[in-house]
Amino acid sequence: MLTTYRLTEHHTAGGMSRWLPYLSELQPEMFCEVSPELADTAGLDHLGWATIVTARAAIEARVLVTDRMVPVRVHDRIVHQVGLPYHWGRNGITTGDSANDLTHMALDPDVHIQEVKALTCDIRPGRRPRGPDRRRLVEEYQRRAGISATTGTTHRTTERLGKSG
Amino acid sequence: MTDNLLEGREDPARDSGYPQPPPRMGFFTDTSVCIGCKACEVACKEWNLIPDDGLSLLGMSYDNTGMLGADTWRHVAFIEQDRPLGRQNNAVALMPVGPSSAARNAQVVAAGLGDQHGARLGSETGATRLGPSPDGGPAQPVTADGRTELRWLMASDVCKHCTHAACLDVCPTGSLFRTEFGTVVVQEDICNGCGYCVPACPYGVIDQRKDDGRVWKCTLCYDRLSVGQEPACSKACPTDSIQFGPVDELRERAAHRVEQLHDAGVVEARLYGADPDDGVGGTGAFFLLLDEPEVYGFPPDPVVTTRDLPAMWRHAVIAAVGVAATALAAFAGARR
Ligand code: SF4
Ligand code: SF4
Repeated sequence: MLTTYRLTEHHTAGGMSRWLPYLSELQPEMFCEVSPELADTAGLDHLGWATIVTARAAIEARVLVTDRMVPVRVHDRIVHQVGLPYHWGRNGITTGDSANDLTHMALDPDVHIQEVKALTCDIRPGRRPRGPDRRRLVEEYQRRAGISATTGTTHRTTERLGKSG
Repeated sequence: MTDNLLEGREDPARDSGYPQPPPRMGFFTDTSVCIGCKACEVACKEWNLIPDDGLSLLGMSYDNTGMLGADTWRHVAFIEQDRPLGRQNNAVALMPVGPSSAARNAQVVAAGLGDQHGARLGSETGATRLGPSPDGGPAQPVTADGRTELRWLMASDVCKHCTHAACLDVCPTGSLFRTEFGTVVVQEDICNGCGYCVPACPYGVIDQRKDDGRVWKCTLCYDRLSVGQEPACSKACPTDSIQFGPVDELRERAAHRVEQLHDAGVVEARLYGADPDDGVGGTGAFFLLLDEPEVYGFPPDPVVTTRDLPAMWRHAVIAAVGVAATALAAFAGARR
């Protein structure tokens, strides 16, 4: 599972704060946080590179291995978590891949706010492929997962109302 | 009190020749309420127009500053510890988890920091302590394979504005001086960049700026104090982790806070630098810590590095007299 969050040093996608030296030096690079267990399983090194892949995109980030990330047990399955701040992009003093490239377009069914706090992903060591290879990597994942252009486009609220009504 | 100090006794401002100084001013940094927002670091840089320190991901938790230096006068340390805070229940008991990553991470961080920081990095970050609490508190829940819960310490470090400041003692130009507030300040228009003060500081605070050779450190916002304002960092701190005021009052307040924390079961709370009988005569900027000073990268028992200078001079004078006498005797002998 992947989740995204803010850091105190940056503002939204970093469009303003990544241009300021005093804030950029405090959080100078896009990173992903993983537990020591996930680092062992996936072969990730502290401060090394990792590529994170979801149904929508692949991005790269430096790895922070930390005990603050803990694997959780869900119905007898161990689920690992990947934490991603969402403050990076292409311009500014510090640049990096954007976590928001990965996130899905699902809306919270009750309040219709983009629901970006939990999505599935894969994480592998090393930097992401460049150019068309990056697209091919994502397509390979999509093919294996059986994801098409229509996957996840059902309007769940209507579905639920239909069932109960 | 020791009498082996070149500069300052109990009242550094008066001892430096101010006949009617205002009360000695300082900081009490209560790390137990620091939330690691780094507002103090940024406010300090904004006010004092300090350049940025370079963009490097250090891998020391959320600390990408590393340590105090010429271009960092406040530094917020982040320490991840495998140790429970309060009475949390361990949600990962019986999980198939591995040992803490801390030691492994520390190696990577030390290698990455290299000469720049590595040699001076004193903190033992994220040390794993298993079993009963060393302070006699409740036993710590430990997972099947030895992982404990986590405590995240944050602490904002700064120049200590020592009562006996070695940096000041060794400065040959008089650039470093004692202000009427009892603080220690560098005058950048006088500093000639000799760098004597850098190894003299027992805390590794004062540092040379590479591209101009002069040394820089916290001034306790001397310019703001002079017009009755508080320093930028304490003004910006949203939790009052950094408190500014007369040192006497702060020491009282700090002692009260330690008592309060002890009553609340935080037995490990302690003060650092508040004791006027320590090796630097107490510091104008002191701290409340939740673990050993080393954990935060502080020297456990700092001593003003000029402590032995008077004795050394005495020995040097005796030796010089001895040499002169021998030489005289030799000449006297040769004439015969
Ligand atoms: S902490 Fe270091 S720089 Fe600050 S007053 Fe003491 S000796 Fe000088
Ligand atoms: S000392 Fe205050 S301003 Fe500095 S990081 Fe802690 S809470 Fe924030």
